Amino acid sequence: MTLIRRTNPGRGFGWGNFNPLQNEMSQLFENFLGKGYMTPLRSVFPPVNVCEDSENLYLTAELPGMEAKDIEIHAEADSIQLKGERKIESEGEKVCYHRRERESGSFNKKITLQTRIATDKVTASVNDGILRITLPKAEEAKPKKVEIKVS
Amino acid sequence: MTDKELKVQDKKEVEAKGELTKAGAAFTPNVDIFENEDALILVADMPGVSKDGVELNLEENHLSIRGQVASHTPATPIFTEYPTGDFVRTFSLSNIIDQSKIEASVKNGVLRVVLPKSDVSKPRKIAVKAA
Repeated sequence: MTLIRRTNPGRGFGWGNFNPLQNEMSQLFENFLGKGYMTPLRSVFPPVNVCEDSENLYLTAELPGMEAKDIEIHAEADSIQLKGERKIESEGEKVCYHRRERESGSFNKKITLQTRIATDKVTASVNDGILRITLPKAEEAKPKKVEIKVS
Repeated sequence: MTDKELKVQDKKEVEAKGELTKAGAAFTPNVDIFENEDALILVADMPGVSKDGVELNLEENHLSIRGQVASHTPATPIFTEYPTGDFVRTFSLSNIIDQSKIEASVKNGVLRVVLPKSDVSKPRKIAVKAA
């Protein structure tokens, strides 16, 4: 077994290490095939962005045309599940299409969080087709300031 | 109820022609274009775009739509599965459109533009006269 040194862990724009296995795999491919080979990142619908500050995690997802009633959110201590269906209403029988790029269908996605969250304080809103979920961190997960005692 | 599962569609970044006048990436929105007897209708997915963020420009026969997305990252990103930026797309209109009557609306991040057909181009039934 050969040990392969990770030379560039945080490669790409902001992908970070959110999918360690994928990173590991593309790293292997890269070592094998040379730089430039990158497996396209295939994720589950909807794509989400997550960011954090010391108090909360913020999750956003683009769900154009969807309203609060179309989306179901289940929060667990270390994961969040998004479930829903995007419907595109029929425009009647008399229309003919020139272009049809928008898609309808259902989704069911689970996101594992690296931080434990306070599930009872999770809030969510949908505005202009963007779902925003605020996930307050559990007390034990919040950063704490440690005083250094002078002896 | 549709059984189809939604797949992730990668956002396509707009390739700039000439110099960009605005910082940041711009993306091509997914659109549906269809027509009925009276009008051509364009529906575009532009999540994050509000009523005030839409700009429609009509130059000769080109209709360009631009949706501004307010960009703010309140905190440190942990992971990013989709990029954000404005939506831009240009369409060529044919002569059958009555350009003075174009109407647009935005709801839940979906833009809908109604382009009425001019009277001359509406389908007509031609009666055959008996000689």
